[in-house]
Amino acid sequence: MKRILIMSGILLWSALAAAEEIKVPYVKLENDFFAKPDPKAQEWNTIETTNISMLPQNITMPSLKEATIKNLSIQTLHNNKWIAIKLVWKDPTKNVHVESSEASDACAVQFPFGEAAKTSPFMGNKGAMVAILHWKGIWQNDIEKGYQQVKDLHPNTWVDTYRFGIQAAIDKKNPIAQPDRKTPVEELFAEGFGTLTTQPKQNATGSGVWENGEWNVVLARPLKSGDKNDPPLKAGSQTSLAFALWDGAAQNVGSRKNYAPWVPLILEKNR
Amino acid sequence: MTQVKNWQLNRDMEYPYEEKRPNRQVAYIFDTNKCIACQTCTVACKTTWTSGKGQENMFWNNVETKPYGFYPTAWDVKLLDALKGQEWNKETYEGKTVFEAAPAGEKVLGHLPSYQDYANPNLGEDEIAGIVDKGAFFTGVHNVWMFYLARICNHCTYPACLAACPRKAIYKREEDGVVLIDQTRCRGYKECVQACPYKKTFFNMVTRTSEKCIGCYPLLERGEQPRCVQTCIGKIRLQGWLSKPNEAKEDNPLDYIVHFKKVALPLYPQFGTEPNVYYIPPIHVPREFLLQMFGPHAEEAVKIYRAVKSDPKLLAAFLLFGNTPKIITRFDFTEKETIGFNEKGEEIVRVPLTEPFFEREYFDAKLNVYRHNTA
Repeated sequence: MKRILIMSGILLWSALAAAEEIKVPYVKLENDFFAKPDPKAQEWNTIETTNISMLPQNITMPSLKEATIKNLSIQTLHNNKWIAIKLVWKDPTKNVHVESSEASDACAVQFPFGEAAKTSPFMGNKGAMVAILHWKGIWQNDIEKGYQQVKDLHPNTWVDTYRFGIQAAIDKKNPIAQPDRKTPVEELFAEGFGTLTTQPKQNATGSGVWENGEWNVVLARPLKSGDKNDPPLKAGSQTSLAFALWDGAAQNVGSRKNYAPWVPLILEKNR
Repeated sequence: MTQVKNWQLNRDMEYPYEEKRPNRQVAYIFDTNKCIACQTCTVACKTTWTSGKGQENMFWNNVETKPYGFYPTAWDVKLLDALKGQEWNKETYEGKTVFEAAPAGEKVLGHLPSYQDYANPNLGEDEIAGIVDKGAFFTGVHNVWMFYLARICNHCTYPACLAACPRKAIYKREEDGVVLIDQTRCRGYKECVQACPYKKTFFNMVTRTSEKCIGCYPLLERGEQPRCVQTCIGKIRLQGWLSKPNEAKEDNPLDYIVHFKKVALPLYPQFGTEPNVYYIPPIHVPREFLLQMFGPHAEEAVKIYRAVKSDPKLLAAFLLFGNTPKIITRFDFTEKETIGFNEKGEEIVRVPLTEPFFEREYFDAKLNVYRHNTA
C-alpha cells in the first residue's frame, strides 16, 4: 500500500514539477542583507517573480480536501554566500496566535539532500532526507511583541496563583516551546511522514510582514553552512525546492497544508 | 487499518495499529451513585498537575452533571450526533466506531472544541432533566433526575488520541497502559484534541503542546492510587489493574466488578476506544439514557447493584473503594470483613462489611453533660 502511494506520488510530482523553474540570480549584496532579511527591501523590486499553484495535501492523513491558499509567488537571490527566498501569498486574515481554536499562518521551503527525482516532496522518504526552513506567524510575533501569554488573547483571565505550576514542554526544551526565540525560522530535517525533527544547529534567518491581506516572508540560509544537516548549495549548480503554506484561519496545521512539489532551482554563477 | 478485538463491542474493529495490550492495564471504577460533585478530585488534580500558565481552563479531572452538564461544552452530544445510528444487537455493537466512521482524509471522527467550550466547566451543574410536578416535593419520589459524572482520561486500550497523532508523539506504556503525550516530541497540531472522543487531551496555548492526564504514574509506580482516587471523600473510586477478559481473576476486585459481575460499565463503549474507566450506572436514571451512555449491560448492572445487600462478595469488593491509598490487587472476605492485599500479598486494608454501631448514654456522668442538644 505504502509503495503504491509513493509510486503515485512520484508520477504526480514529476508531472507537475516540469511546469516550473526558478532562477536564482547573483546579486552583489552584503551578508547583512541576509542576516536580518527585510521582505520589503527595494532589492527585491528587480527580481523576477515565479508564480506557483498550490495543491491541497491529500497524500497522507489528516489531509485537506481543497487548497486553502491557491497561489504563491516566489523570488530568490544569492550573493555567493547566502541564498534568500521570498514567498508572497494572499491571506485576508493575519493569524499569529495559537489556541484550542486558533492556528498560526505559516510557510516552509524544502531542499532535497540527493536528487529530487528520487526524493518524495512530501517530507522526503526513507534514505532520501530533506532539509526544511519553516517560518510561522506566531514566531514572528514572539520576536516582535514577546512570547504569547494567555492575557494577550484573553485579557480578562484571572488566576489565584501560578506558583506551583509546571510547563513540561518548556522545561524539557521542546523546540516548539521557546520563550526566548531568536528567529522566526526553524531548520528541520525529515525522512518521511511523521519524522520532522528540529536540527540541532540553526543556521537560517528570516522575517515576515503581513500587509493589506498579503504575507511577504523571506527565508535565508548560507549556501555552505558546514552543518551536515544543510544540503550545501553552490553558485552555478542546480537543486530543487518544494513549498508549503498554512492558513491559520482555516485551522491548517501539520499535514493539513497546501503544497507545491519540487521545482528546479538554478543558482546563477557570479557575474 | 488493521482489525483488532474490542471486547466491549463483542467484535473486531478497525484501528490504525495492531492490537498490543500492555502487560497490565490501569483501570478505574467510579460509582456514580455515590458521587456528590464536591469536586475534591478536580481540585486535587488541578493543584497537582494543571496550575501552570496555559492551563487556566484545563481540568484533567472534572465532574459534570448529566444530562445538561458538559466539559467542554457539548463534548459528547456533538459526537453522538455525528456518529449517527449506534445500534446494538444484544451484546454486539452494530454501529460504527469513531475509527470506522472517520471521514475521508481523517483517521478519526472527531471535533475540535473552541476556547469558550472550555471556559464553563460547571455548565449545567445541578440542573435536572425536567420539571418537578407540582406538589411532588411532598409525595416522595419525583419523576425527574440528574446525576454526577466524574471524568478523567480513560487510558483507552485503543486510544483515539494516539491513533490521530501524525508524529507518534503519544504512546501507551507497556508496564501499566497509561497513555502519555511526549512533551519533547509534540508539535501542537491538536489532532489528539480533535480525535479524543472524551475530550481529555487539551491544548496548552503557552507551551503550544497538548497535555493530558498522566494517571498519576509516579504514584502508580510506587503502588499507590492516583490523587483523584485517594482524595475522593465520597469513596466512589477504586483504581487497580484490569486483566484481559479471558484472563480475569475473581479475586482481583476490578476484574470481579467489571468482568465477573458486569456491574461497572465503560462510558460510551460505542466510540470504540475500549476505555478503562468503568462506571456503576446511576440507578434512578431512565433506561434509554443509560443504554446510550453505558451500553447494553446497563439495565442488568442496575439490578445487580440494587441487590448488593444480599451479595456479600460484591459488597466486599465495593467496600474496598476509598479505604486505602494503596493499590489493591487481590481481595478476600469473611462474614464480617473485607480484606485487600497488595502485589506482594501483604494485607493493606481491612474494612467491616457493616459499620459498627455505638449507642452512647444520654447523659455523660464523667463530664457531667448531656450529649443531646435538645435536652
